[in-house]
Amino acid sequence: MRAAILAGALAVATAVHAAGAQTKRAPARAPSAGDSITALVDSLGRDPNGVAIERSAVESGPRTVPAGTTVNGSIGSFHGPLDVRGTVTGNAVALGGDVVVHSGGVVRGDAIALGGHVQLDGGTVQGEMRSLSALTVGPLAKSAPRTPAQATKRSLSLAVGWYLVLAVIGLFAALFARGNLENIAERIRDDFSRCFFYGVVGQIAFLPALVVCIVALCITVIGILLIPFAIVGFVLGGAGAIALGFLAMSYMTGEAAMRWRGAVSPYTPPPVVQFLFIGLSLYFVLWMVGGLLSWAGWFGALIRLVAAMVTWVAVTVGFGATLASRGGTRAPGGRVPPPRTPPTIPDASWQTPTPVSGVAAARRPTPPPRSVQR
Amino acid sequence: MRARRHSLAVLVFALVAAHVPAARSQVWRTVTASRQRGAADSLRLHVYFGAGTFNIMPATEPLLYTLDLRFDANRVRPMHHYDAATNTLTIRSDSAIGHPFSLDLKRTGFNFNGPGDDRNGTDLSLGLARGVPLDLSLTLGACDATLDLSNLSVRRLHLETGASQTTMTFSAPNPVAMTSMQLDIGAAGLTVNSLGNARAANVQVSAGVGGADLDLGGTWTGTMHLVLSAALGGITLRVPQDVGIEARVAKTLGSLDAADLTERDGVYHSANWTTATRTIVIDATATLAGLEITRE
Repeated sequence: MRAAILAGALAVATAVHAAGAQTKRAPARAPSAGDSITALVDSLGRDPNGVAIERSAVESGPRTVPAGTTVNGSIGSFHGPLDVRGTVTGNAVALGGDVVVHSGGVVRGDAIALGGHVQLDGGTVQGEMRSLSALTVGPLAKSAPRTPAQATKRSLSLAVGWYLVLAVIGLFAALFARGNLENIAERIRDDFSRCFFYGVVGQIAFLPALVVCIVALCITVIGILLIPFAIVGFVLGGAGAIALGFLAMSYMTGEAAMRWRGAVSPYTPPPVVQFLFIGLSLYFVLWMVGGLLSWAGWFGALIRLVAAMVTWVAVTVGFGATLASRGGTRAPGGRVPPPRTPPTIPDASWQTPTPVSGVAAARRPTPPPRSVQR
Repeated sequence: MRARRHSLAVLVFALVAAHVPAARSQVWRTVTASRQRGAADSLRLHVYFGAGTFNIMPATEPLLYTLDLRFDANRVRPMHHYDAATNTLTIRSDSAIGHPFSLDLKRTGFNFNGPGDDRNGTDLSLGLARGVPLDLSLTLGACDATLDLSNLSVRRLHLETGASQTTMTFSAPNPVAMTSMQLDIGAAGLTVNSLGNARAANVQVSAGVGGADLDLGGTWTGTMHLVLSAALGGITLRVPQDVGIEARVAKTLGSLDAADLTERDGVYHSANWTTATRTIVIDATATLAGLEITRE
């Protein structure tokens, strides 16, 4: 039942994250005046649906092939339409405009419009008429760069999305895997530097270990069938360990912050959820600052670099602690934590209730005073 | 204790799921191409199409072909080529960038490219000239295909499908007699409407795990020779009432369901076999498969 509840809640968390990281449909970018003609011509030649044309054949602005004239070879316009009324013996290409073949106009090669259309207005195209929304290779293949506002918005969205997801997952980890979380945190507290070392080694050894696993499966021959499952399981396990470790590190960070403020009482059980959220929030603040400064050029990049470094250290230490504690199943010192059992109640305790008002003690019998014999 | 273990397992899974970012961004591109008919007296078409939606229809304008392609440039790089010397148009959109199965670790997460993954598949619509003899060779992967060959002059047709769901329609008689028609069906299904309008004297159908539903309706005369091979799947033939049927069926753990036919010396005949003006001769092989012949 718990697992089902957990699964449902985490599915919601995952959905939230997925919404945050929704795929962007990069719009096709038409050629603009800022683009280099040379780069465009080069990319057009390499595009599977493009065509080769000499750089010298392309000129900026609208172009016209007058009626009765012949262009030997190809002709191209850049950022303007290409009107063909005469004859073009090669290709007619418009980069960022339309190719219009008017009545009497003849194109013996292909008519190609990049970011425009090929219109047949009574003319003849002996080759192919082709319209490309954009290129698939070269500089124009990439979507338009983000504006500072868009970059800031995206960075903030990502930070908020990750925070929400980790908060929800952390909440459930605190509720259902509290023991593991505490053991990992205890391991970090016990030996921070060793956990960091384990984390670095674990990250470096991750892929080689996967390869070894695959080779071992290959050796067994029958295990070859299990290789796809092993790969998926290995990757899932690694990512899960990293995430659990980071949550434990957040818990530790939150606890340290509260202790610094003197808000931790040694006489009450540690508020795990509170520590976890405070720790997560501290990391979140770092990323928020980095996101808010996305417009600030190198300074923003520096802040994001700091945030990334801090987060990496936290992830590495947490991952190392997770490995060292075998997923939080072992407390520091190698001991297996005793299973949690409810406190035992003496069998007979209920049989002798004590009145709230207390029990009047009976007077202890004392021997009578001796009489003096005279 | 068990509940706790389950919780942990689910937790780990969810943690991982949360760390798998959504698929990488899509970069949609469109290519529209067409060619004037010119002096072309025929057209050979070779299509290799992977995942997505594929349509063939008669061109609305007097052009040799029109081609509308929409694709995600991050996943596929379709190309097409026309050889004017042989009047051959080749279209390829059948491979994901990199390996068909690939984990893309270049970005922040991983993205699984599978050959049958048509979540972001390519859309290809092809218009073909009427009145121009066509030789069609179509190799389809995992896609939804609609082939409207009505009013097209199809001279040869070779269709090979993987896991695609294909519907083929001949709503009007083929202007030319089809000399060869070969349909190889993989793991999905094929539905052919009014196959009789194809005017194919010889039809070969090979069905794998998938099934085929062939409607032999339409306008045709003479005798049609149908060679069927079914393994694991099933083939259903819908034959008009006036058509005489002769069937030879080799069954290996297969079955034949044809209530209208009577067997004599290992050959099945319909009651009107000797009197029918148009007939169909079926040579079928059914291995762990079923063959059903119904009357329409």
